[in-house]
This record gives sequence, structure tokens and C-alpha cells, in this order.
Amino acid sequence: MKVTVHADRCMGHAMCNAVAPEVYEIDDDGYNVMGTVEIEPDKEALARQGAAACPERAIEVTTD
Amino acid sequence: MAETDPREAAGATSWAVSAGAETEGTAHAHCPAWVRDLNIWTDEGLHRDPYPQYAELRSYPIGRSDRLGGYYVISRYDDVLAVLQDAVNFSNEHLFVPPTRDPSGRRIPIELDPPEHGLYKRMLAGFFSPQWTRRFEPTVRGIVRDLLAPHVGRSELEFMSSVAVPLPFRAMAVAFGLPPGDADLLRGWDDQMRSGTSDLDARKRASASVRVKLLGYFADLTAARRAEPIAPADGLVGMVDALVAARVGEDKRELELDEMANICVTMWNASLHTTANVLGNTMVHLAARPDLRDRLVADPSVIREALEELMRYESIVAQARLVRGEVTVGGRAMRPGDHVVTLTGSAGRDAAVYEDPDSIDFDRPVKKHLMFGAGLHRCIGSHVARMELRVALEEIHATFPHYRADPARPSRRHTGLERGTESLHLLLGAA
Ligand code: HEM
Repeated sequence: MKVTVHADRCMGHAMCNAVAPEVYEIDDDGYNVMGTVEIEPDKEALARQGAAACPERAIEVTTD
Repeated sequence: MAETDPREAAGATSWAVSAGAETEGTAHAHCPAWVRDLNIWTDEGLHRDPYPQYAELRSYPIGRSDRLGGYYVISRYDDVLAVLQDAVNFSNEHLFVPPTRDPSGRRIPIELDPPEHGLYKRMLAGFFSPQWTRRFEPTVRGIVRDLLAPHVGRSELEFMSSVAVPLPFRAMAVAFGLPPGDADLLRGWDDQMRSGTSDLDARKRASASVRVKLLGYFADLTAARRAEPIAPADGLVGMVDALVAARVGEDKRELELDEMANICVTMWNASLHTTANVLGNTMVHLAARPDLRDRLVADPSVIREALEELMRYESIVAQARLVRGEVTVGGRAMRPGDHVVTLTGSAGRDAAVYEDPDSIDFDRPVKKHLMFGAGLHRCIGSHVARMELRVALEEIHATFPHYRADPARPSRRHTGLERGTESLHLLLGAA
């Protein structure tokens, strides 16, 4: 599973990091700049919760 | 064909005419008379309980009112998000219907559009960042404890006047770096603006005169700090001092005094009653549900999630936008000069996004909500506000674990620009 954080949609709510800090890193101002990352199997549920917490729908989850 | 002034057309358009402007062939349910006649700021039904009306509005799914100069009502989560994320077609130049223009100019940053908006937004978001908020937390905890202390051992508490309203005033006075004591002065002006009248025009005049006083106050304060910078208390630089030190734009210029005063007044007004109302609303629901209260007393780590859920349950802000382009929302075509009002409170109850949206469930898997807006104008104060609210709930549940609503004195609520709480009487002793 991969998550892609669309930087143009991220407005710095910092909710992904509040819900799933193990998966989503934010900068000092609250923006997520991590781009696309591969998610380890044991963190998939967390990654999904973090994505569901984004009010902007800026986080895309893809499974292959 | 001669161009009609789109603004005039929007004002004069009846439902039947604007229904003809539909694209995409969606058959819209016919909006009943109450929607066409809806004054979104003063409607009595909305004041009492907006959610049944919101549910009906979502079914249209774009409502159209002919009042207040004419406006569309945006009520579904997807449509609210689409409008808020589209700063090109939806301008913040008009945040109210009917549009009002302040003689002192557009409010920075909230009434600005890109690219002008970006200059200020980046700078201001940095001041109230998650990192700054963490350092500010002990100060806020101290303020909350001071507010609660006089009530320990008492049997009752009027929550709004004792805690919810004074908390943000005191916290923001420190965050701004105001001279000690000035919080009371500014609070006095604010009370003056709010008290005494339900006459909307009288209120508008009172708030314009308070705005002039606030602009003068902050112009004087920023000028004084520019002349003589002060050392920050506890290593926390106040916002006023940060503005004085800021260098913006490509030429790294200083901010002008009137720019700084404008920013300070916007931030001051945006940070107080919003936070107070959310704290009040949250406590209204907890005070009615001892089971929920007991869970937070037993496990304070649930408070974060509880807050997010209660902010979804009552997302409080309604804001207008001026339509700039030819754009379609929820299947309805809109034209330049039209106005829309977005209801974040309705988005929070949208069954397309939330299962069983009218129930409070701290364990809900979907945590997102639009209470702090979205898109370019996303609330700058969201990190600070969340922290203030969480710290307040932590201290309240630790100090008054038996609080509950006083059945003899029901809370007074309202809906308007914000959904809020005017009074909430709590009983503090064990039941
Ligand atoms: C729980 C409390 C709060 C709520 C519910 C709230 C809600 C909102 C909402 C919905 C917006 C977007 C408005 C729009 O799109 O037109 C907004 C913007 C804003 N808020 Fe808040 N707010 C709160 C607290 C604060 C605090 C504490 C501050 C200051 C520290 C603040 C400062 C601002 C500013 C400056 C903007 C304009 C941002 C921009 O235009 O880019 N707010 N707020």
C-alpha cells in the first residue's frame, strides 16, 4: 500500500499527524511534505485513519 | 444582447428563473417557500435547532434564497469543500450576504484573494504553528486553572461567563503580547458591542464603532513596539512583536502600521467568540450525557477524539463567498456576481460522509470535519484553538467530575454566522 500526500491540497491542518504520527510527518508549520511513501503492512490501518482525517482529501491511498 | 449587471440579476432572480440556469440536466427538487424566504442569519428555526432544516437543504441539494440580496445555500460536505477549495471561482471579498464594505478596507487576511492573500497567510500561519502552540500550552493551562479555582467547592457554575468567554480573551492577550490589564479593556469594548440589543442594524453600528476603536488601539500598540521592542515573556514572542519584526514579500519590507493594525483586529475578532462558542457547545452536549462525561473523566486520553467528534457534530461557522467565474456546484450553474453561503455545520451532518451523523460517537472512524474551513482560508488559529479546548476539557474533567446541566435552567443557544451558546448552567456536586 502507498499513500500520496498532494502538496497542493495540503493546507496545514496537521490532522494526519495528530491521528497517525507514526505514518505522517509534518513540518514545523503543520504542512505535510512527504509526497508518496510505501506503507508497511502493520501500519496500513493507521495510514488509512490518517488519510480519513484530512478535511481537504489531500491524502490518496493506493493498493496494488 | 446587453449585459445585465450580474449582481442585480442575482438579487432579482426568482427561484423559477434561476432554475432555468441549470446545467447537467439534474432535476432539482423544487425549493419550498421557506428556503426562498430564508434569512440564514436570523431564522428562528435555525436558532432553536438548525439540523432538521440543514437535512432538508442537503436534499435539494443546493438551496436558493431570495432574501439578503439572493444567495445559494451550500450544505453538503462535498459541495462545501468544493467551494472552499476553489479560491479562483469563489472570492472572499464578500464574506456576508448582503455584502458589507467596511470603510477601513478589506480585512487581512480573510477578505483577500490570491495572490495578495498568500503574502500574509504564510507569515501568520507560522506564528500560530503546531510548534508554537506546544510552547504556549502551559500558559493556557495556568489560565484555565485560575478560572476554575474560585468555583471549587461550589454547587453551580454559569459556564459561558465564568470559563468559556474569559479563557480565549486571556489566552489571546498573552499570545498577542498585550500589556497586562489591556485584556479587560478590550473585553469591555467587546461586551459593549454585544450587549443590549437584538436589533441587527444597531449591532452593526456598534460593531463598526468598536472596530474603529480596536484599529486605533492596535495602531498605537504596534507603533509603540516598533519604537521600543520588548523582551518576550517566557521566551514566547507575542504576535504584535512578531508582526513588528516581520519582513514580507520579495523585497523583504516591513509591515505598515495600518496593515499591522488591520491584521491584529482580524485575528483578535476571529480568535475569541469562535473558541468560546465551541467550548460552550461542547460542554452543552457533555453536560447532557453523563455517560460521555464519565468516559472522559475515566480516560482523559479520549478527550482529543471527543473534541473532534463534537466539532463535527456542531461545526459552527457559516461563511459567504462571491462567485467570480462560471461554475457549477452540486449540479447548479452559478454566474459571476452570485453569492453562496456555505454551512460547515450541515457538512458535519452529511450522511454521505458520516454514518449515523446525528449521533455522538467518539469512536467514529472518520475524524475529518470542516469546522476550521478548508482551502486557502483554512483557519490560522486551528492549532491554538484545539489546544485551548483540549486543555480546558482536561482541567474541567479533573476538577469537576460530576458536572451536569441544571435541568431548571436550560442552556440558551443561537445560530447565525456562528452556532453558539449564550448560557450554560452547570451543577457541580455529585448527583
Ligand atoms: C474554535 C475556534 C475557531 C473556529 C471554529 C474557527 C473557524 C474558522 C473558519 C471556518 C475559518 C475559514 C473562514 C473562511 O473560509 O472564510 C477561519 C479562518 C481564520 N481564523 Fe479561525 N477559527 C477559530 C479560532 C481561531 C483563532 C484562535 C484564531 C487566531 C489565533 C483564528 C484566526 C483565523 C484567521 C486569521 C482566519 C483567516 C485565515 C485566512 O483568511 O487565510 N481562528 N477560522
